[in-house]
Amino acid sequence: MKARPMTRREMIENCIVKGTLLAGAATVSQTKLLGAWQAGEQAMRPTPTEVLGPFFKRGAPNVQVLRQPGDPGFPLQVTGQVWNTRGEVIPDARVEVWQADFFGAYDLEGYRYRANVRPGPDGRYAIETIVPGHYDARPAQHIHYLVTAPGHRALITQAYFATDPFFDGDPDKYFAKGGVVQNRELVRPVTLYESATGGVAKITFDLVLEGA
Amino acid sequence: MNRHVVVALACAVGVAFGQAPNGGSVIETGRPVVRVLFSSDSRAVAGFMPGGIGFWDVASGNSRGAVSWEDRYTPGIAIGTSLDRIAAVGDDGTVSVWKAADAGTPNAIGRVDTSPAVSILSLDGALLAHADHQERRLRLWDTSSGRLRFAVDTGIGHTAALAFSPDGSLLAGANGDTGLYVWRTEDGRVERVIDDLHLVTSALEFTPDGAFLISGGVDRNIYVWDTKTWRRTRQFGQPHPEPIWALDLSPDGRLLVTAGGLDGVPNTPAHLVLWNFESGTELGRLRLTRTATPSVALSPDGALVAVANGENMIHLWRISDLRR
Repeated sequence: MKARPMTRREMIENCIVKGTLLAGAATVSQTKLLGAWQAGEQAMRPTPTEVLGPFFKRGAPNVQVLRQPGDPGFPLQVTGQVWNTRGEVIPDARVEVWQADFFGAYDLEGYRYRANVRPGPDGRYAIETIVPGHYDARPAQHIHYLVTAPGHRALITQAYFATDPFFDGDPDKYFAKGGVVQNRELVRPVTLYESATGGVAKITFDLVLEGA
Repeated sequence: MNRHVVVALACAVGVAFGQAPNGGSVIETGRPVVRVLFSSDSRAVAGFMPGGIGFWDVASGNSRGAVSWEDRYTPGIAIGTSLDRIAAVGDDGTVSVWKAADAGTPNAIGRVDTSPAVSILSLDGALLAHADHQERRLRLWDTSSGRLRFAVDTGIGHTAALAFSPDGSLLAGANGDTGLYVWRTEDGRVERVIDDLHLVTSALEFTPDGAFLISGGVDRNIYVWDTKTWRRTRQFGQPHPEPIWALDLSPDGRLLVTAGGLDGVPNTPAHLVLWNFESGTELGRLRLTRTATPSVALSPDGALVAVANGENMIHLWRISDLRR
């Protein structure tokens, strides 16, 4: 597993412990040290927020596999990790996701393509689903997220797909088209891999929560 | 309900009056109408449009005037149930209230750090409520003095609907987290949180006597809540055919209309349904031409129903034609 880069806070703490800062302490003002420390407190930027939308449904099941055999739509794997802004994983978060089916419809009667998953101790989550369909009201394919964790502000956001025809092949240029997507960061690169049952698309979407 | 139109003549809007494909009449507005209301005498209908509010004679379809403002006031607008005051949030976050009688001289009563595109307003004669989607805050002002009565956190989701009780003592809000919240307007204290719904409520209205709160939403059902116990006393036996986006109760409390559709999903039906509120039975329905989020209003005399759904027109039907 690839090691997570050291946060600025950890780097400062490391330096202090090893005494490397002490040599220059006489020339570094307390204000500058405090500033460096505060910067470390914001090691990761919070994930940009988006609207909750009208189709949130309370009571989604704790399932990781949202697609069923024979479902129309291109298989999709979504993985990510839940962090706080200090760059620490949040092990006790809840990640709630919901999306439209291949035809662009949300299940309002049941809980198809809805899940409320609990990340592992390392903050990692994963779901197996399909690439959502398009619908007129929000014409970019997207997955809704509601992420909650004790001591943190609830995060409401959405993940989009860089391969979505909506972005005309250039999400850097067209991500804001029609005012649908508020932040380029939410348009995730899509990779393809071959599984035993065929092609699967994959995106990674890390989630960074602010303290309450 | 005391509904009274003071028509402010700021500019004339060209109109045409024609037949709707599904039996009613249409008033061509020239701009998309997102909300519609009747005057107290049922002779005029008001429609919200980008840049202003237009008033039309329902018999002839002729313009009876308009209140206009710069395009910087677009969504996030509200009109009091008495039609005598209008409120809007500008692009700069200024919350302004107009008296319809002297439109053009807005009274800035407050500021919010938000885009008007992500807020909703609700207004009765004396109070203005503003719910912010991004900040997730609800603010309540006295429109006369401009005093901010309170600002409260609305929780996880956005506010999808707001409604004042007839005496102005309560404000009900539907949250995107599927909860219904009721605040006391005097101090912002939470009167009740109703959290046993699974899908989002899109429309709220108190009965004229204040005894019940009516809700309708994405689960298609119509619920009636007792405002003393806040228990659900009734659920109509039959749901609306699609998710409900708007409802209106007649001033005498006898008729209810609901409008809904699968918002934004092409080639799917959308309907307007007329109900007997007392019995909860359907009296009739018709198909709407567009699934976009509609606004619906019953005329106080119980003769007409108006629908606006983002098209450049207001649809009008006679209640008698709507009955089966």
